[in-house]
Order: sequence, then C-alpha cells, then structure tokens
Amino acid sequence: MIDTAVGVAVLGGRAVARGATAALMPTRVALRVTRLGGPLQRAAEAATTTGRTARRDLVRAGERQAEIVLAAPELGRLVDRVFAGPLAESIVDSVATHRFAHRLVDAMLTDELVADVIDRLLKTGAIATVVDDLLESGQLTKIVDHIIETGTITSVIDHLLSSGSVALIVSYAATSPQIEEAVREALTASRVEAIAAEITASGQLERWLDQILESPALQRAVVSILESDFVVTTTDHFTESEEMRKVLTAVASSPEIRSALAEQSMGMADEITSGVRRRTVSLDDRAERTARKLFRRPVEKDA
Amino acid sequence: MTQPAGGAAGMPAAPTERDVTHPFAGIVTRGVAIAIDGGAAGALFALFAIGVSGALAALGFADVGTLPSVLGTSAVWLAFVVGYFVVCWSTTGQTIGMRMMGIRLVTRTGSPPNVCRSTLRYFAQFPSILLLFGGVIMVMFHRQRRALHDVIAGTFVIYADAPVDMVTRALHGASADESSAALHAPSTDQTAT
Repeated sequence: MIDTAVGVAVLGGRAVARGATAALMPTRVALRVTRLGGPLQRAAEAATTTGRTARRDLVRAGERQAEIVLAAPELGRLVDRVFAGPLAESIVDSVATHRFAHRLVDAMLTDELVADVIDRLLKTGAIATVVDDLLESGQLTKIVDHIIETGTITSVIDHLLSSGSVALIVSYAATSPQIEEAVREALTASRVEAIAAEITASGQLERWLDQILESPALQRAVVSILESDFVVTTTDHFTESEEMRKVLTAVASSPEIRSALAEQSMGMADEITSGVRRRTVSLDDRAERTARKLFRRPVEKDA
Repeated sequence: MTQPAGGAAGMPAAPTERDVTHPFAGIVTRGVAIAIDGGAAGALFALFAIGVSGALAALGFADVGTLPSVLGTSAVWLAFVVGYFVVCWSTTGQTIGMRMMGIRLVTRTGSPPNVCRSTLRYFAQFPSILLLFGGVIMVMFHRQRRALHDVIAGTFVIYADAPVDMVTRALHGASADESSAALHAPSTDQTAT
C-alpha cells in the first residue's frame, strides 16, 4: 500500500516536472535570443553571493548563541532538572527495552560513523571548544555528579553488558586510529590538567571513585573487559609504541627516579641484613645451649 | 642510652635492633660472615684473575693448565685472600661479611688488631680447621666465645652494636677504663700485643 502511494507520488512529480519544463521552454528560448540573459545571470550571481554571506552570518550567530547557552546558568538548572526528574531513567529503560543501544552501537561501528564523526570533531576543534565551555561554566562536575547519583551509569552499563555491546565498543576502541588520535590530542592538551585540577580541588574524585567501585555493574563491566582481547591488544599496542619507549627512557634517566630506586634498594638490603642478624644472634645462643647440654657442660649466663 | 661498640674504628654502628645479651659473637653469626667473605673474596679474585689472564693472553702468555701456571695462580689466590682478611681486620676490624653481620674483631684493648696479629690469626685458622674443626667448635664452649685462632692471636669477635660498657666489662674487667677509651677512639692496635 505504501509502495503504491510512493510510486504514484513519484510518477506525479515526474509528470509535473516534465510539464514545467515544457511550459518554460518559450521563456528559455526568449532569454537566449534576446539580451535579457546577461542581466538576469548577474542578478542570479548577486543573489548567490548574498545567500552565501547570509548563511555564514547565520552559522556565526549560531555559534555565538551556543556559547551564550553553554555559559548561561539556566543550562545548569536545566541539567539539574533533567537528572533529578524521571526523564533520564525513562530514556535508559526505553533504550534497553528496544535494544536500541546494541543496534545503535552496531550500526555506528560497522558504518564507520564514529570514525567520521571523531575525525570531523578533531578537525574542527569542536571537542576542545565544548570541553573549554564546560570547564568555564563549571557544569562538568555537576553533570558527572548527577550521572553517578541517579544511577544512570549503572543502568547504562547493565544494558550494554546484557546487549553485548561492551565487547564491540572495547574491540573498536582498541583498534581504531581515530580513538587513538582523540586520546593523544586530549592528553597533549592542557585541558586534561584543568579537568584533573578541578575534580581534585572539588574533593569529589574520592567520592566518585567510592560510588563507582561499589557499583556491581561496574565490576561486571571490568570483568567483561578483562575477559575480552582488549587487555592483550592494548598492552601490545602500548609496549610497541614509540610513546611508551620515550616514557620509559624519560623515567629511566630521571635522577629522582634513580635516587628513589637506590634508596629503596638500600632500604630493602638493610632490612634483609637486619633480619638475618636478629636470627643469627638468637641462633648463636640456641646453638651454644644445645652444644653445652649435649656435652653436659653448664650453660653460661649472660655476660 | 648506651653507645654501641661499633662506633670504634670510625665505622658507623650497625642498627641496634636486636636484643644483644652477650657481647661476643656466636658460631652461627661468625659462620655466616665467613661464608659471605668466601663469596666476596672469590668474586673479587675472579675479577682480578679475569683482568690478569686477559692481560697475559694479550701479551702472548697463553699456557693455561701447566704446573707453573697452576702454582702461580694458587700463590696469587692465597696472597689475595690473606691480603683481603689482613687488610680488613687491621684497618676496621671488619671484613665485608662481618660488616654485614654486624660483628667486629678487636683485641683486649677494644681496638682492631695490627697487621702482625691479623696475619697470625689468619694462619692460626688452619690448625683450628685441621683439628676436625675442633678449634672452631670451641666457640660454643669458651666463656668469651673464642675460637682457637682467637686464643692464639689474642683477639675477640664482638657484636658491633653491643653496648660499650658490656663489651668493656667482658673484655677486660681489670682495665675497664683503658678498654672503654679504646672503644671510643678509632685507632688500630699497632702497639698492642
């Protein structure tokens, strides 16, 4: 039924297009024959330029509005309401019920959509802009706080585990060059330090870790990741990478590290020899007492 | 707090962690120290021998296994080991093994033995061993835990972290002041006999 309707619509459209072409035929002929073609073409070019400028202005205006929205306190209140209300849980439940997450993840990863998106985001610097805005507005901490408190993360992990999407995501993350590039950019930027400083200064890191570590869903996710090939692949990748070699070289050549290792080694050696000394002193007395008893000699008292 | 005897001879005292009830070192501690010294002397000689043999090979002397080379190596080994013990005993009163085990060789005055006394003690170890280790086992029965070679050389092996007054009383009750002074002042026993 739907196919028939679509077919009728397409045929109708084609008929209209042909009719319009035929109806405009005299006009096209007149434009080519007379001198009206030049001014009309110039007018069309002027309209194109105006349209391009208007579109550019529109994009700039959109960016300005986005910045204003991100910096506005209303956004924070909106985030509060969203996470405090039943909407977040409803979305998660709905996603789980319809196996939406699994299908979405599957489709995105197989169609290389994620790779394209990450590629574009990296090129345009949008990730950096968003992170900067989040940091400036102070919403990052609040968002993470809400996600953990409402149990949304637990539900998401549960649903991802039950749908088998975790293995898919982990496998993709381990092999994708786009993910690697994104991580590298994030690590080289000063934003990571800013995020870490903000989280540490707010004292929330410890609380988050406690809440996450107590979550059975996260424990299941960790077990799932450890059972996958992710650990082996990632370990191989890191050990073979040039960055790892540079890090090891830097660490090995650091005088502080060398000094600390030397001190630790000396401390361990001292501890071992002290333990041996204590034992040999007691063995001295014991051997002496045994030998004296064996030969029925009087046991010497302490000097 | 009593000062440990290890402060003598300019060496830092061993950690005072153990409960020393007797100032003289027993047979187990001394045995472990000797074992460590055997390994240390062997390792040092091995390094020395590698260097010398490499130099000889470079000069064209490559006759290994002949009687003169075996005798020569044995003589060098003996000189090396004797030198190791004598130098260590006569300077600080401690070899590497004794240092690790926290014991020290002293004379009755509390100072390290001189070169002659150290050499005498080294060679006196041979009769101690040849008498079916009787001279060594004697440590377990002697009141001051002395072996035969200690008696011959007039030396004592003490715990380096034993309190000075305890060592002084045990070493020489009659001339305690002299012993105490010697334990505090680092000097070799070049004049004592």
